[in-house]
Amino acid sequence: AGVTWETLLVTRWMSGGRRPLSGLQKQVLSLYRQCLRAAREKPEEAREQMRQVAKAEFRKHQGLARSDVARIEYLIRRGKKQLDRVLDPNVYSLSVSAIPKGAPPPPSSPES
Amino acid sequence: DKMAWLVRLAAPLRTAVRPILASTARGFRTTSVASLKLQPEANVEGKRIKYFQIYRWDPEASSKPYVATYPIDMADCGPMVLDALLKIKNEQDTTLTFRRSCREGICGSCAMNIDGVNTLACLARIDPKTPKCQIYPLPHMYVVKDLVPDMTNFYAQYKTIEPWLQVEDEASTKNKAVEADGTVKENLQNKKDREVLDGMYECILCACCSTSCPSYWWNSEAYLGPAVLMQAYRWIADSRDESKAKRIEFLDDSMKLYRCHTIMNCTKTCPKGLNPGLAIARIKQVVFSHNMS
Repeated sequence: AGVTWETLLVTRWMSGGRRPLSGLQKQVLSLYRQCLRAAREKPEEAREQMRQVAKAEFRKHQGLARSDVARIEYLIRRGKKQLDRVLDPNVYSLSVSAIPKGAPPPPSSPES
Repeated sequence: DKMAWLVRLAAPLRTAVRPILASTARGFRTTSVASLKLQPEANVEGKRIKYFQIYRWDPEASSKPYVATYPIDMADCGPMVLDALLKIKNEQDTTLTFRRSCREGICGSCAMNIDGVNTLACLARIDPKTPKCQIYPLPHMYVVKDLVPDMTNFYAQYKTIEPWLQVEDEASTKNKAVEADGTVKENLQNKKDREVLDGMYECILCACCSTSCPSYWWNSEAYLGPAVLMQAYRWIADSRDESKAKRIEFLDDSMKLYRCHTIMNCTKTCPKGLNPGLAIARIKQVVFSHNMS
């Protein structure tokens, strides 16, 4: 049920109720659905976290113009690869850490 | 200069007794003092600068790729294009992204299009005679970032040809060297059979050839490409392999093998000097004779 109304909402919102979805939009939605379904196969504790990660990733780029095909395709490819890694049956949880922006820390001097 | 040479040619052959070296010294390629100078000649503040025009694209940052130009002092840089790329990354622009590993032409990581030719950056000498060098990623490949191509499809195609030795009965000791207690030590192969593999086993799967083939550009999904096909033939031709018929039947359809129209860009561009075009021709012969029998 969580999958169905979410994607329906996105469909309505993206197409504005009038224009049919473009092939690329359908691919994005299909990928999103696959991500959410992948979360269903995982152990109970990890499910919500996986769904949140997927939603955040997709929301991050929701401002892309329809014409920005190169970037959208790149993101779809990247998303599919990440999804393939998560779909591996040995994977049991998913978490995201934030990479701090700015200069990298100075290299530590070698001990010993 | 050329005129003088032509006049000399028309003159009566009194030069018959001249030693060969002297007669070629005045040929079309005059080794005049001018061409021995270091090039490009000092053009900016007494330094020999060459301009590297490199394709850049950061999908996270912008939607449009662009070409960035970097000046390099030739006196201060190693001879290969990879040296220039590393120098640019170290000193001028750290965000320049490219694959590299062995720096000796054996790993195949740094495959890219340099001045229109697909080669390994670590093996491509910087041409001292031209003022600029154009560096692009491998043509008709999805780009991950800057000069890094997406090789997923290429590797997936390589996997489909099952590039490993396949024997019917692993326990059989036919053509095997056997230890005293009966365990099989090694697969035997005579010199003549081993020579068949020369020119194919050296492939480093850099994808320069597949990526130079127009047929592969237009049919990447279905056509396997010269690199993968040459490896397919490497396993078909291996005397130790026993699934020759299965491998041949796998290739025998309209797309996997027969999109090759002997364009021969592959052989021309191979940075290791291999001949995938010939290997593909051999596959076609083998498929034909298999179908005839």
